Amino acid sequence: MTDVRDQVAVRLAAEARARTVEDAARWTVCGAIGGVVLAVIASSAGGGGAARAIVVALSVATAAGVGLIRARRRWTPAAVAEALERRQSADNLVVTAEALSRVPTHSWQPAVASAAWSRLEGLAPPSHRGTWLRLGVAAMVAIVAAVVPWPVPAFEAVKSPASARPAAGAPSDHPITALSARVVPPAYLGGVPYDTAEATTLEIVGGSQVTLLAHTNDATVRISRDGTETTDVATAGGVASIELPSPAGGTWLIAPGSADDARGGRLLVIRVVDDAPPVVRVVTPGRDRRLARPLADLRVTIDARDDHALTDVRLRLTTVSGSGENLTFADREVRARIDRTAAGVWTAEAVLPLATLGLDDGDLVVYRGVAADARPGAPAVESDAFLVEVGPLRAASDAGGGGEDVDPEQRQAISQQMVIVKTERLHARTDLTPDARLAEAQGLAVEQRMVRAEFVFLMGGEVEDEEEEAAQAHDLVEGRLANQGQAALLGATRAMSRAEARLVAGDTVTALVAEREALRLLQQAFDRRRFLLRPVAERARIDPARRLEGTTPPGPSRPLPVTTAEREAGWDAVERAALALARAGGDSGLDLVAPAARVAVLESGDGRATAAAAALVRADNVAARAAALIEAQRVVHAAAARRLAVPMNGADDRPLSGAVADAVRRRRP
Amino acid sequence: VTRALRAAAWAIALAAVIDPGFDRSVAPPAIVGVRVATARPSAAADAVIQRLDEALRPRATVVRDVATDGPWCAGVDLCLVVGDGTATVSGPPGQPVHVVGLAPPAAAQLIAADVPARHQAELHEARVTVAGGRAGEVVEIVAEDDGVEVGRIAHTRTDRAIDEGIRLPWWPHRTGVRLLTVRLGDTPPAISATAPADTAAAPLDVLVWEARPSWTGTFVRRALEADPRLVVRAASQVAPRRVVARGVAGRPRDSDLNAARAVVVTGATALDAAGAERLARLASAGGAVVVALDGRPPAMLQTLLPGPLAAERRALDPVALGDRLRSAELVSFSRIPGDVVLASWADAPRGDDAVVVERRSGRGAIVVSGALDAWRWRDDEGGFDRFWQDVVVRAARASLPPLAATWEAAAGSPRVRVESREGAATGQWPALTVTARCGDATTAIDVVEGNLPGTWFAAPRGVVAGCTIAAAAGDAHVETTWPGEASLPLTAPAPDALATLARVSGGTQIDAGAAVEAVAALLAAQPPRPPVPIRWHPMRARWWFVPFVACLAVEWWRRRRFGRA
Repeated sequence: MTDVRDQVAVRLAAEARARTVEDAARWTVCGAIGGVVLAVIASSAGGGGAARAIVVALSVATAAGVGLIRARRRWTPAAVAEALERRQSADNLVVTAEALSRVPTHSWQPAVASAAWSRLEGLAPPSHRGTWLRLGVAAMVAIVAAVVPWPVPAFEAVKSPASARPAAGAPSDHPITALSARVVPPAYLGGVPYDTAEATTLEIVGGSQVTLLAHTNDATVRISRDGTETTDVATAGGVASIELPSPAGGTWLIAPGSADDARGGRLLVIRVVDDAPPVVRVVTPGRDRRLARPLADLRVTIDARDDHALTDVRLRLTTVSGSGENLTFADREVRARIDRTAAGVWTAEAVLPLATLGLDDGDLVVYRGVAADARPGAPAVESDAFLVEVGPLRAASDAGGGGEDVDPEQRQAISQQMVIVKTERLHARTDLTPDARLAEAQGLAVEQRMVRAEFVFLMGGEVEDEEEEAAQAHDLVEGRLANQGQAALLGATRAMSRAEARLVAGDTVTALVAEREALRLLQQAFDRRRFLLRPVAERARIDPARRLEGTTPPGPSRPLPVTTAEREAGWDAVERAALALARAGGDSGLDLVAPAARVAVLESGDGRATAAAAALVRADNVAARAAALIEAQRVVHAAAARRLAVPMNGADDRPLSGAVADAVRRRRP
Repeated sequence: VTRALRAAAWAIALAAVIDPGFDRSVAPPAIVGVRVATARPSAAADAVIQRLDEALRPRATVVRDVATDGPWCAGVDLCLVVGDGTATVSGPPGQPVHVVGLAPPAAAQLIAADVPARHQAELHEARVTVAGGRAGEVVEIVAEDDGVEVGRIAHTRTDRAIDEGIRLPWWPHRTGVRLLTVRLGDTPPAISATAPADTAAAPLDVLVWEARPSWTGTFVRRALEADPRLVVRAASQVAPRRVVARGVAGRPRDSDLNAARAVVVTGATALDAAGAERLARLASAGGAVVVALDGRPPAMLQTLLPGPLAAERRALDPVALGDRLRSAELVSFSRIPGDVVLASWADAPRGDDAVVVERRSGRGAIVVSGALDAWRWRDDEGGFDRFWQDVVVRAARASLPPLAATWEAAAGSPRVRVESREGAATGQWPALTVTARCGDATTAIDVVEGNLPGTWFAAPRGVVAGCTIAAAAGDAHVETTWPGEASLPLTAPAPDALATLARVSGGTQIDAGAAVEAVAALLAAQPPRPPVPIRWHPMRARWWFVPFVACLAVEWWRRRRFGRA
């Protein structure tokens, strides 16, 4: 009898274990399903493949553990006996036998156990038990296997439609799932970094540092700029951190390193907007003034604006004493009271102390507003200069006791003598570092170029290219400009060119020699006449009566070669874009990111090419793809047309007989 | 009876050996000649022809595409043209032509494309003709070169039967002779056709003659030198006996002027009367003369001007002359019918605003610019340069070349066009030799070689790879390259070409729905064709064997019946 009792206990224990395993399997399957859901959520938040695997594993393990504990607590022998009785009634013998088993001395125990065992032997195990278990385990394994090794491809179809399109060839198994950029503006603008995510275009200030974060399960990420510079960057933890070189402007293509082409990649167009220099202008009085006597101060209002922030606004003035080319210049600055409307909008008021400057008749005060922003090494920006001239006024103005406005067309500001004085002053200074001296000299070079430009304009034309001027020099020598005055003026401008070149190099000594030579030639050209240095009131005319008066040099002229023009630059980019679009049009499975990069390079400033490239990347169905390709084709055609000459309408018309026109013309008086 | 049957059989056998002949007269069926005039194969036209053929048989025979060496439809009784207005028929008809008009095609069709040769550095342009479809329908016209899309426009169909001369800009993907594919729409079935395109037109030879140095001359010359479509030779008279020249030996001679497609003259106020007369003669002979004035023109330049001066402006501030040119000092001319104003002064008195004028003179043209100081007001976008480049290219292309031979791939009859300025001016053709070689270097075929009888001659069809044509007269030598054929007509039919054809030939217009009745009525109205005498040989028909065998069989049966065999 003892054996029968043991057999009943063993049978109930086995049943309890089976039910425990079954419950635990159910819990595990539920945990796996929940883990998949959590992995999807983690992926949308930027999680990589490893993160998703950990989420799924934790979920499965937790569910399996909880299920096992709960099942072991639930399936006691008594609970198993009750469950068996519920499934198939045994006249309560199984429950009774299990209860009597806890009272081994009970007299009914052997009989009840024997009867219960006979019922248990006829009780078949549940038909679904093994199936349930196998299905559960298989589902769990399949789900875990699907989630852990591969990064949820179905989800990518939402994130990157172009990349998820069925493609021919060998696409990457690990597309770029997310792309974000961290931009660090230059330090002088505060350097506060900001992040952008999933952008296709990015506008940054010049000098900014850009770091891209590309999320992918690929081992490397390949980046290319404008389709030419290609670099591979290794990923770490599913993220590739790419620090772009500065300036980072251009079209960047970020693609998985294992892809044969750009499939699964992202396109980012970065446009660099340089920090513009401030704009400064003198609002009041805003005109030149002529005063009989400098008795009162002059209130000057300066308006300055900058696209980011201003750092300084001042009033700078130069007093000019003397006459002719024997002038004395003195510079000084006046502090201004500043009203800051915004960081980039300042209004300054300053007082020009005319009464204390010791001005005499004929002296001048040249003043201008000066504004600076925080750009390192950038020179301050000056406004247009205005004059205060001390001297006799017209009768009516003098009777009024004040001054009179000067016609803006009669202004004068810079002269060759002033350039010489400034160069001498710079040459004499010993408190400057070499860099500062070079910067000052280069500033003087700009002024020298301005003076030269005035004289070139005075001669009747401008010189766009010194090399071209030199190539044409024999024309001038051979008679065109053979009168002494013109030749001297030409020599003066060339001396100014030499002076400018030496000033750019910081050589003030040689520059002074050239400047003085230029001044000597100017005095020779204009004899004793005093010349205005900015004679915009009356433009000089070439005197036709003095043409062709030069001496003809002996010998024949040198033959000149016939020149041929070259094709417009940038044509290769058009060709590449057209070929890329042709390939994309012929293969409906081809990824459009690479053609988009080719198209984006054609951007001309109106944003059309960038928009077309973005449309290519976004295209996620056949209709959108066709529309994007057509728009991209139009962009390419427009880019090509910009680089070609456009014939005038009717250029191909065959010649009409002019007989009728001639007859009409002969009839007219 | 038995003997009679036997005799009949013998008689038939004897007749078969003798083969007798008899004369008789027969009225032949009328011949209806039909030509189809549709740009594309038309099922509607085929249906009309089949209906006619079935309804008119045996009274008439319908013959399609009657081809003769002389006038077409010459040997038929009734001449029909079945067309929908998208194509016409060439050559003079031999008799009245009755036109069976079909409804225009329901879908838009591409029926012609003309692609003039251009230089590789400029935007090309195809002239496309489209028919069919409905008014207001937007048609995408696309140009492709070797699979690469090179041009696209969206054209809205007008309510006219044919939209011709639609300008399709396209850019040269490759240099040389190309076979441009033009198609409508992007979705299949795409309607496409090919047209030859020469993207490597030779640069135009331009001579810049500075009669005296001037900034106008300098900047105009620089603008032209920067244009790859032009090869600029220049001569600058810097002193009375001093000339600085590029590409010419010295002061331009008549041969230098004649060799250029266009002559640009600056500093013209220094010209003498003889020099102005030389330029006027050059223009009259077919050349192009462009005069860029930089001062008030003296009286001796009157022969070059489009007319007397109408207004003069001298100021410090410039005015706009169109969207590319500005000038503070200018002279303007009165508008004369026939002149083409290339730049005008908007604020000028009415009718006196023509500043840059193209005037036809003889076989050529003279362009005069009264923008005296436009060089001072050049903008940063190169408008001054582009204006002068376009003016000179336009004038040079419109001028008669000194000597040129071009291949025109007209549909069905490729031909060579030879132009000579000297021939046009004097009416005396020089002794020219023209050689055309088609195909590649290894399979070249001499198509034509010999003295040129006139300005045109036909070349055979067949070779499409490309032809090189050379015409030579003395030292002159001209070459061009062009494909032999195009699958698309280069010239579009006039919208009412078929109606005009019916009217001028004495024919009628027939509605397609009543074609059978109308054609039957026309045939009935035709005078009966005279009977044709023919000789009849009855024994040459196979049927004589039937009575022969029947006679023999019955004769044998009767003998068996009556016991004789």
